[in-house]
Parts: sequence; structure tokens; C-alpha cells
Amino acid sequence: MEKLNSLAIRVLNQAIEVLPRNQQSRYAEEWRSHYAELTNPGERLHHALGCASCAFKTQAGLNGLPEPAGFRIEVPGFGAVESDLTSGLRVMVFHALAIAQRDSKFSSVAQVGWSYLSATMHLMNEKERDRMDNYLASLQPQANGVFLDFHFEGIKYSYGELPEVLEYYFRREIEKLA
Amino acid sequence: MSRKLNSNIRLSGPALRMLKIFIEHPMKEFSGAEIAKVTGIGSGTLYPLLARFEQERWLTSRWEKIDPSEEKRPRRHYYKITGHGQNCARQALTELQTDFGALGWKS
Repeated sequence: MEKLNSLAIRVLNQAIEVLPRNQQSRYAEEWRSHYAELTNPGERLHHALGCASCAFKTQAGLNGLPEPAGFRIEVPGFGAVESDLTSGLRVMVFHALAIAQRDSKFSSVAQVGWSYLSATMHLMNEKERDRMDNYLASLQPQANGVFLDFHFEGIKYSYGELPEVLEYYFRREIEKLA
Repeated sequence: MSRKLNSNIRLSGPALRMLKIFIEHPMKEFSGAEIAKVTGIGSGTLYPLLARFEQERWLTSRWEKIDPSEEKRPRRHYYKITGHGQNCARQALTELQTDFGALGWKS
């Protein structure tokens, strides 16, 4: 749980740094105050990722750019948090796996992934799960090999089994922490 | 479904959920954390919404008057609906009700 809190604080700090300078002190205090009122580490991380999303949207708006479709934050000691804002933050888990496979760094990137999934599993409702399924279905035709099949702990799985494998893996990792 | 009002206000589902609590408690001040807890809106949606509504003068805000070092926590930032905001929100909700039937909101 300490790891989740630590990750949430790092993401929150980086989100504040992304903000335009003239807004940093106001939101730093407001977002930290919000953070302080949350007791569940998962909710804290969810809040921090939301603040990151807000910061990237604000930065893009000031530069006259369209709202970003996603963002990536480097978290020292953990890896990177990458998110697709159009489909919801939780898609990050799937991106994390894809990147991990590509870079052969499953463990470090997945650390971020399972932390994030633990934050969102209990927050996800039926509608959101449907949305995620639709998003993943939309990725399939564009698959460049990463999503068609994958290996996990020496076993080859098909793309369709990805959610189950991830859930198994992340739950196991979370239990280790508990 | 969303509906654009005036210049920059877009009444999306989360915006309506947020307005609902302000309309139901026009004299009460809410922090971002309280709004998130009651409405279930995530921070990534909530804070841009609050900023936009404040910019359009539907909401006003102030810092909590405490000494953070004494309380050992950061100050909260409180939001409250303005008279202008109440008028605009009621008008918007009336238009929505006309278009889509009663929403079951008390005004």
C-alpha cells in the first residue's frame, strides 16, 4: 500500500509541474488538499491520475492545441504512466503491457499497470467495462502484432485472453502487497 | 449527450451532476473532494469543469481560512454557486426538460 501512496504522490507532483506556472501554486494546494481527504491508496492514485489528465488538458488549451488524446508521465523508480484519455485512464494497463512486451521490460512497466488497475478495479462500473471492451475491440483491426497474441510466464495466449491474464496477474501482485 | 449554452458552457452529464448539488444547496460551499465524493466525477473531469464554470461566473470560490501549519493539512478551496449561475442553470435545466421531458430534478 505504501508503494501505491508513493506512486500517487509522484504522479500528483508531476501533474502539478505540467501545469502553467501561474496556476501551479493554486492547484498544488487544492489537489493536495483533495488528496489528503482520501484514505484509500487506490482512490488517491485515481485522483492523482485525474489531476495529470487535467494538467495536460490545461496545458494544451493554453497553447491553442486540441485536447490531448493521451499522456505519458515518467515516474522515477516505477516506469511510465501512459494513458488514453479518450477511452478512460484504465486503458493504461493495456498500454503498459503492450509497451512492456515491446521493450521487454515487463516487470517495471507492469508495476505501474497493476498499481493502476488496483486503483480502478473497484471504481469500474458495468458501463465503463463495456467502454473498455469496445475500445479494445476497436484496436484489434489495427493490431501490429502486439495485440494479436502474447506470452506471459512462458505460456502463449491469444489477444482475447488478455483481460483475464491481466486481472490474474495484477490481483496476484496486489495480494503480495496487502 | 451534451448541450452548449451561452459561450463556453457545455452541459455534459458530469456538468449536470455537479450543478445538481449546487442547485440543491445554493448556500453551501463545497470543496472539490466533496463534489467528487457526492457525484462520483473523477478529478480529471471535475477540475476543468470547476475552472470553466468559475470563469463563466456560474461559481465563485475562496480558500479555507485556516493556518495549514497549525492544522497540518493544506487549505481546502471552496466553491459556491452564484446568483447568475443559479439563473443560468435553472434556465438550462428548463430547456432540457422541454426537450427531453422531466428529469426528476427539484428546483
